[in-house]
Amino acid sequence: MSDQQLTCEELVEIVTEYLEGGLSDAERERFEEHVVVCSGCANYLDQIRMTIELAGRVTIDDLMEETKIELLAAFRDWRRE
Amino acid sequence: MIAWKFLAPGAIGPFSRVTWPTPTEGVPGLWLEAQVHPCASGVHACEASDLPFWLHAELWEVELEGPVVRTGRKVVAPRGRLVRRIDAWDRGAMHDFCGDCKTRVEEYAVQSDEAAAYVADLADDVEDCHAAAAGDDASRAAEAASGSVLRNAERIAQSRFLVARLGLDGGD
Repeated sequence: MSDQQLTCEELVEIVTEYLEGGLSDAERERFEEHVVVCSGCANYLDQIRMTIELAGRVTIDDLMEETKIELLAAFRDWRRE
Repeated sequence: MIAWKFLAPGAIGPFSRVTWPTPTEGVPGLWLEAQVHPCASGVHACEASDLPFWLHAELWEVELEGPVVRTGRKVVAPRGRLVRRIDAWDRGAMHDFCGDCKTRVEEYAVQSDEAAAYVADLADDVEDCHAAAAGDDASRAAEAASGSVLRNAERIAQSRFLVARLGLDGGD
């Protein structure tokens, strides 16, 4: 039973794991109980879902050459960190 | 087994985003089927005692079939279908629920300053008609006033209010 309530900050940290099905049953229930009562986090979850859905439709051909270069550079820098 | 399910407007699962087939002319909606993995997959619903934790726009009576697993504040089954919408769960009922929570929070406020801090939150919840927030704030106020026993008692009071106000069969 999920007596310890999740905070908004904690929800933001684990939203990706939630959407990928990576949370335990208890964590998932805490997450969902928070979304029920917190309209801000409910909106945030909807926005993340929408972002994933829209980004999932983008193909490499949809990107401008300049964007491709920026993204590749960003990933290269990220791997170096 | 008969259980209860809160859905977003349009009979949409608030977390799964699945649109449930709705009943037509008194005939239950089509069965939804899913492999059961208690919190991640399966057809989720709840018993009357857990209604206050899942408040949303629409309330439906659900028929569950197959081995039903109780996990945390949910029940999960391999099959489920909507039997009827609880029309009594409307804006008026939400408002009354908020008001009922507010009345108890005013009692908790007498017991502690920490609980008293929730009185203003409840006033906002009533004004916004945000039933889920009212239930949550009231349970926090109860805990602030007298610990987890009163918090659990507050949730029980909320459940009883819903069962009585909506004319539900408490079942559990």
